[in-house]
Amino acid sequence: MPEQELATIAEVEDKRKDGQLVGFRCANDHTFVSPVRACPKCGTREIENVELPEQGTVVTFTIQNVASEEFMNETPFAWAIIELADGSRVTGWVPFVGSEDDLSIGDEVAFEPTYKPGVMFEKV
Amino acid sequence: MPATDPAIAEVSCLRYGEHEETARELAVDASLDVLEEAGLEGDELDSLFVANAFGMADKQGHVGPLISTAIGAPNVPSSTTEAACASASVAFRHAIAHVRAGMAETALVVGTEKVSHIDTMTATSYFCYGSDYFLEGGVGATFPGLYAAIARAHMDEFGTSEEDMARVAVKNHANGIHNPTAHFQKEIEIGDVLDSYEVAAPLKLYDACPFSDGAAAAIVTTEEKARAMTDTPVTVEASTQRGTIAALSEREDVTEIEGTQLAGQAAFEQAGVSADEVDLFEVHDCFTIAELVAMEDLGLAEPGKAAAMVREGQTKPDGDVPVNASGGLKSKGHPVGATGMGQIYEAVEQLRGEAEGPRQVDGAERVLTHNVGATGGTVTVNILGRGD
Ligand SMILES: CC(C)(COP(=O)(O)OP(=O)(O)OC[C@H]1O[C@@H](n2cnc3c(N)ncnc32)[C@H](O)[C@@H]1OP(=O)(O)O)[C@@H](O)C(=O)NCCC(=O)NCCS
Ligand SMILES: [Zn+2]
Repeated sequence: MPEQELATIAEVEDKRKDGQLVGFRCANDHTFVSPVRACPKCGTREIENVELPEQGTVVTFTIQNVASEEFMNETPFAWAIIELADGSRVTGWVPFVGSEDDLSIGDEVAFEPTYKPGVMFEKV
Repeated sequence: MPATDPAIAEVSCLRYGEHEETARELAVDASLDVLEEAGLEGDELDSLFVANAFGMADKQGHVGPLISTAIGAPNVPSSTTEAACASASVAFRHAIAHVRAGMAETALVVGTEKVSHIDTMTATSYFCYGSDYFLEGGVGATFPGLYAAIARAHMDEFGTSEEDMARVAVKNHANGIHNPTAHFQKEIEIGDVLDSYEVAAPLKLYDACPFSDGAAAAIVTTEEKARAMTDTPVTVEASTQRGTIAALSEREDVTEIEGTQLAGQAAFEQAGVSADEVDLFEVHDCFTIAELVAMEDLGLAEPGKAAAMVREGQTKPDGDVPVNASGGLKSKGHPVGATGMGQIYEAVEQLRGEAEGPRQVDGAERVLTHNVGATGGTVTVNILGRGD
């Protein structure tokens, strides 16, 4: 595997603003979005930066009615764990979800770059 | 190396709820209480272990020396442990390790927290700092939200219902009525839970533990010294800690917490007992779903089957598998940095037969405590037994 500088959190966040989701993948194909330098699953230190697909499905979610300061103006919204097309998992929030009728496990969502905090997805 | 078996000589616990005092003052009060119980002066301590998760709420870090100074023992070595909601039980393990290694003969462990003076949004924000902020708190998840995501997945996988979760709250509130240290002493019914407002769907107000202030402490020392301080010392049959991949989204299965499974198995092995030989389980029910998942991960129920045990009443104090006789985090409350010590306080009360009213588990000989930091990044399990 070629020597490669692994992205910092700040770089990952900058890429997101430019519309690109990125993560880290080990030689054994385990993908993480958190900045791992050795694989939490298999221990290898052969890790590289990867670009992640923008579309995926909801694995599980919640509807946030009580939020932290950064998200206080967004309630209600959904926070979801999303499985992307390549099998990797990311997290994000989906605006304007106020009830279970608005989102379900298995629903398709797509990454939507935003000036707002966090990583935003919208229903497809 | 000669192993010195550690024991708990005495414990103390302030009532959980709203206090006017700061975290350091609460810690001092709980420390003085436990010193008095043990008949010790502050300067007889070899070490002070403090647990506190949200010092930022008091604009105060480095509380160890403030507490040691206030209890008249400024020269005693002190340190503060932060492991989110598991801070206190990790501090307790530090005391155990020091006594076992002979680095301290007598240690005081005190957990403390004060958050009632900050508003709900600010507290929610501070609590988010205990998650992987990059992947969770900073992306919109709150703690209720993280556990709600676990709940939603558990419902999807096993058919767990909102009523199943509500029953946990009803049981724990029923137990809390008999606990003078509990934040809430209020009976509730399933309808109260289902009708309460949605904090993070599917979790509602009554599925959640409250923001509590509180402090709890223990004297940890050698078995021999403990016996000199009390007729009813409590022995530490096992004390284990394990971790889980920090962020929920990076785990394969969000309906279980691997750290609990590993810490539980290791604890049963260390104590040389099986779950059947434990009389009470004080588990980390920060949200109702967490009690069900903890029961499953500790092996008290097959995955997806804990709800049935709750429905059948098996987890009441007079049932076959009592869980959270104290009222749990749900009703006793959750002063984050104190919670692990509060569980140990309950275990000691139960083993001494001193728990009030129907909350006492008849003839309790062995109690397991289970404390979780965040969503399982840290998990500790202790098995405590009667030492008399
Ligand atoms: C659920 C939650 C949002 C409620 O917020 P809050 O600011 O404490 O509550 P409110 O100010 O809305 O309180 C309204 C009423 O409900 C009561 N109440 C608050 N939390 C409660 C709870 N968890 N269970 C039962 N009653 C509760 C209050 O005592 C108050 O009663 P009163 O009107 O009779 O005085 C908050 O308690 C919470 O986030 N809890 C979870 C804490 C957490 O995440 N801990 C870490 C776990 S890992
Ligand atoms: Zn790997």
